[in-house]
Amino acid sequence: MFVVQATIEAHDLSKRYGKTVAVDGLSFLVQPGRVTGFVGPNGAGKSTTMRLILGLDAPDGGEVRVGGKRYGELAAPLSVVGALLDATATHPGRRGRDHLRWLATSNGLPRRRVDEVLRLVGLTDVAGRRTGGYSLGMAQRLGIAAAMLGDAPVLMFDEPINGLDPEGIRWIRGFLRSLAAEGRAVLVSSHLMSELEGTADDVIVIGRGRLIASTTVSELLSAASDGRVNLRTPRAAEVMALLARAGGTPTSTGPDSITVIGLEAARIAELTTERGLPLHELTPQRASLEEAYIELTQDAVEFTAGGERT
Amino acid sequence: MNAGPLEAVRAEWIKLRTIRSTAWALLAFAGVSILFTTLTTSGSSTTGGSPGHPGDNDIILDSLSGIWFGQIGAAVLAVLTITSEYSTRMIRTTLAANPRRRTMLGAKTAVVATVVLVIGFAICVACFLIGQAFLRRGGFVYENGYPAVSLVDGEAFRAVALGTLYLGLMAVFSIGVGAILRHTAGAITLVLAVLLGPVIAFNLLPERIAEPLERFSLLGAGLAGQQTVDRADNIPMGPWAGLAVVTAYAAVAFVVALVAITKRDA
Repeated sequence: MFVVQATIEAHDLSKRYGKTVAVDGLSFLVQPGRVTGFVGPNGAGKSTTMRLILGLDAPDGGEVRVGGKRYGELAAPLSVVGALLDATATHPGRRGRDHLRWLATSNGLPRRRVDEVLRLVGLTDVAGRRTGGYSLGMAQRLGIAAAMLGDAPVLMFDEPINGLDPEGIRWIRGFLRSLAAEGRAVLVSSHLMSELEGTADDVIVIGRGRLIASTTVSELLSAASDGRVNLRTPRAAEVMALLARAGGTPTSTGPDSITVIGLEAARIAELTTERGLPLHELTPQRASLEEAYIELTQDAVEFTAGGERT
Repeated sequence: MNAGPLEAVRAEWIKLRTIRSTAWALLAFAGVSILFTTLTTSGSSTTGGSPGHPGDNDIILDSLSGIWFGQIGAAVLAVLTITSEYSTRMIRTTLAANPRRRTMLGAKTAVVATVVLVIGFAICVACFLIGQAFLRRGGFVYENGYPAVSLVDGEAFRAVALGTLYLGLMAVFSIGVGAILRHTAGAITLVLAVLLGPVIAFNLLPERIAEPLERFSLLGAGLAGQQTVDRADNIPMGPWAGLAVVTAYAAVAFVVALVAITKRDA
């Protein structure tokens, strides 16, 4: 569907600012047709990585390619990569529409794109206002409109959910999904994994500039859930004995509640039904994305509670 | 679709037109220039000449005197076009849209310099005409040794043309300083220091230091382009040498800015 290969590839990317190592040997691949969450605690190096992708900062080591090319080689960058880095980084005295106009013009994009993206983000009504008077939510939408100007196959949003109201959050989630469904590569950063639940297909987790995990959301979740199943039954002792014989490891967690490891919920239901043992509840425990993430990043957060670097 | 030099020029032209500070700065540029020309020429009287003999007042230089004050408006406009991008962090959007940084800075400089040249030329012409009118009323007439001067007379035209060029080159210098310092207050301070510092120092320093300082100062070199009468208090250099010095200021600042913007992280 797109002429340009819709990928972001980073190889051994490193960036230091003075003595601070912001990005440290980072490699990852952002694939087309998927929303990739780019997650890490504040200060993990997410924004730095995005600046490196856009050629704004020069890496100290390694390289990053967008659509197979270095950013500086792109003839019309806006039609390859659409990026929202910092929504409030507009001249406050310039009208929203004029901001998009100069941007479109800089890449030789047709002027109708300005009105199209304004409609897309629902900003047409306030496009004639100076951006200094925009709310954070309006600024975010203008930033998203700017990213969409070139109809680029690769899109990158730095913390796009910040500042949006609940309606806006629902809108952007659907929007990100639809962009991926069109075959685009969509990279979305967030310091909260929970923001990406139900939105991201893949996650790249970084901490202190290093890659912690690059995986799919479903793998991350199943790795974090250890296959526990909770159940309640009035005949707890018999059920426990039955499940133990069947190869599970049941633990009593209350007078009528049991947690089992090593048996799937379906198998437990079959076993108890065969013996006529009643079950009042049978719940497989899935870790939330947030729990999975916390497990992953425990060792990698910038500062521990004691304030000492881990 | 392409992000080339032409697109960069068009984009920078839209940027310049779509903020209010541009109009205010240009208004200050014109208003202050004309105001000071009016003040200088309306209070002037024929001192050097006696009836029938040419006096040595430089009526061309005097009528253009307003631009030395008004130029601050052009300098501030030029500095702001680049430093406001840094202060709002919009520079990242600009450089992501066009990663060829030298092209972007070149386009921005070309657009601002062109605007300053066009407006500056109009201001120089206006100052000349207004100044001449006031001077004639103040007694600078043929009978007192001051034959009427027209805009298309060689020396008058040269003074206006060099004054215009000075303003354009001074704007290039200011953008260069802005791009090097990336900070509005710092850049404006430095530009004003370069413009006004030597003028202040000239009155305080011994002549052997002051004389070359005046000659190689931006303002002194610019002023040399408008001297049309041989006077003792002239800047001791010809108009074209003056233009060369002004060009050197602009070129050095611009080249350093090009190197800096390519080498540094945005």
